[in-house]
Amino acid sequence: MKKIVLAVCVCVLSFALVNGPVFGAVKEMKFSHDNSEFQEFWTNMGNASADEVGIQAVPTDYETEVYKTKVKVDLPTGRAPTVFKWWFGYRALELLEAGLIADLSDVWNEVGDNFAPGLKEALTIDGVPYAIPFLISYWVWYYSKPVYQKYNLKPPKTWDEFMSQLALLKKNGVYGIGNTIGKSRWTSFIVFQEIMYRVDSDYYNKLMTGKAHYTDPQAQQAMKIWKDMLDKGYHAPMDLDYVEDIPRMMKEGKIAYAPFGDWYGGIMQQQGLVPDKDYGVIILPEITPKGKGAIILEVSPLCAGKNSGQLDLAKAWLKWYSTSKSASDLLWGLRFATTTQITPDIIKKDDPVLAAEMEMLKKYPTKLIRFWEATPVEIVEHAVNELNTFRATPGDPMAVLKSIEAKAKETWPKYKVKY
Amino acid sequence: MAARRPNRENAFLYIVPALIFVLIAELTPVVYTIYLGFMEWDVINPPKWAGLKNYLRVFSTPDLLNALKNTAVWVGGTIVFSVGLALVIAVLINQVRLKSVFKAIFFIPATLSPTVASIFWSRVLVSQKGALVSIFELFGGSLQPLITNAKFNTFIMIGIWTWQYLGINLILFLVGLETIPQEPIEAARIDGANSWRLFYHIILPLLQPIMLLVVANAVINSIRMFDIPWVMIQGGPGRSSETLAVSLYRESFLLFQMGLGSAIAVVISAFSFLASYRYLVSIGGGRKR
Repeated sequence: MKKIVLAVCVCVLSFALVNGPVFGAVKEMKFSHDNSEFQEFWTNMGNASADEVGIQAVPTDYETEVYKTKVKVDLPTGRAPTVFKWWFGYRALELLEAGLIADLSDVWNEVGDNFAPGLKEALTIDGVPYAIPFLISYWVWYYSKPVYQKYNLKPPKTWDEFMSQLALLKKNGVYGIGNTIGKSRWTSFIVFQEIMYRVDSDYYNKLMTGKAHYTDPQAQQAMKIWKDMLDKGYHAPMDLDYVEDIPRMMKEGKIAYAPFGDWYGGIMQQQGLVPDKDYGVIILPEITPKGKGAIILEVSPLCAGKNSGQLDLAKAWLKWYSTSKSASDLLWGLRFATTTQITPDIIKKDDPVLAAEMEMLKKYPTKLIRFWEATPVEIVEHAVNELNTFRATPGDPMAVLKSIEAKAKETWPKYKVKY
Repeated sequence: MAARRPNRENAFLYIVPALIFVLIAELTPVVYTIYLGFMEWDVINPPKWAGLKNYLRVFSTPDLLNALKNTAVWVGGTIVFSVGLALVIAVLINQVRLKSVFKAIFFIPATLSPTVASIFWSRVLVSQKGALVSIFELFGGSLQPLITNAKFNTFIMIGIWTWQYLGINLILFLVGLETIPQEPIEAARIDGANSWRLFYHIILPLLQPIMLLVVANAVINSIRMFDIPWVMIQGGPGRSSETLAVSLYRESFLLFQMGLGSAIAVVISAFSFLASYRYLVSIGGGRKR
């Protein structure tokens, strides 16, 4: 009998040593991301999930480019992260096609009601919902309250009104648009995107999915408008840093507008700006009637590594993450309003600008995916370089469009799209 | 007593641990990189054979040809400024009493990492609230963005590299100058050689071993130049200021074309080997003598 008891004890202990504590155990799972500024937040979330559902998410952060490579290399192996932050659209497609990320239908079936309609579809490829949203961000135009007060400006109701404002500001030595390429190559697509979908939102969608061409009249019109703005000197100096310089200059009344996803509010606050005192937010009017009611959406998804060996853990944790308690932690921790439980009333007192934006968004039913994720990465990277050059030395807009078009022609067949 | 002949077998045994480490840690990645240069690999799907396609792309894609051109500009600029200027300054301060003070002044920037130097100069050169524009503003002037200007940002970055690396070359040249025997110099002076002839016909040839080391080092460093163009402007605007090393990074880790990135790595290594060949031969030759 003693021998049997001893054998059982040895087995239990061995199992515990290999798999962690057996009874009432907290299980650990790997969580990877590329935002060092969020590491503390994720650590806290990991502790919270350990307390509440017995799953300790252990976060590790990497520099973005290193992160992309590490995740891609690890995903096919047993080193795959259990849950990881990624990018949606075409940046997720290659992972899904290679069978490296898990189908999260179970999670959506259980907690899907916590998210706004349309989100599941945005995070679904070929009928497979592959992610849960970490960040849902709409692209708006931040404006400087000191500039608005000094020049008695009001949110423009038409595009012409906006252009008149830019002209007035230029005359008074104020930079109209805070868009730079100094320390951030990617930011060169922003103004192009913002103009293009306001010209024709349906065309924008078609262009992103390989059903329209960069040399079409709509893109030409967008580039012409942008070049005109650049030639007239409406942009802030291109060597500024968008994290430090632009918020500071908006506070000082030297820059009027900055187009960014609404995550930029968090950056503005980190830089010491107070919402509704130093900055506000508007959504610019459409340029043609075909651009009406549209807004750019950016989603940062959380995916589950199929080969991590902890898929059940990943799903259980993502379900926990989608509860109202976690959404509340996310709001107060990072100022991200992700689930439907976060209403404008909840955030009004703390961040009236974000609350006002949430009200404004009700008038914009057409959600368009951000250029960065909406189209294949090969086209995006090439376009970003071309637009970067154009931003620095505005030359022939048609040459830029032809170059991107050539890249699109080369790329789309790889994605089985007849272009 | 007869001298004991060295036992070659025993000597070999002593270097075996280091040899194994070198083979595993250094040779394996080299062989793997050469192998990947002949493949197409996006990290996710298995590598596919591509033959010489990647190498042909290095020498035919406009962006990569531009990177080759920029790398050549870096090499030329480094030799002229970082090496040439260091030589001139070394000769000028060699006989000066406060030589050690000058040495310290020129050497201080070399203690910074290129990344830190790049961040420092980015803040100096930025057109708003930068250190340089603040000086300009004192005199009522202003400053256009410099580092985002594709026409001359490579030259600005070469200037920053010169600022940082000049001190090391200077020290090496001063060491070289101090080891030059005085007899031929004095003999030339007695024969009536002026300063230029003395420098050109006596000092420069005697400095050749150090010169080889400095030039080889400078050329290799500029061929693999990454930190400054990446940290300051990410090879931009567009891809205008990319060096080969920046292209390697972009193709490998932004575009996940590991095959092309590896081919660029092999090309960089080949150029570096060619640049150091003369120096390596001179070391080998010296030993034979």
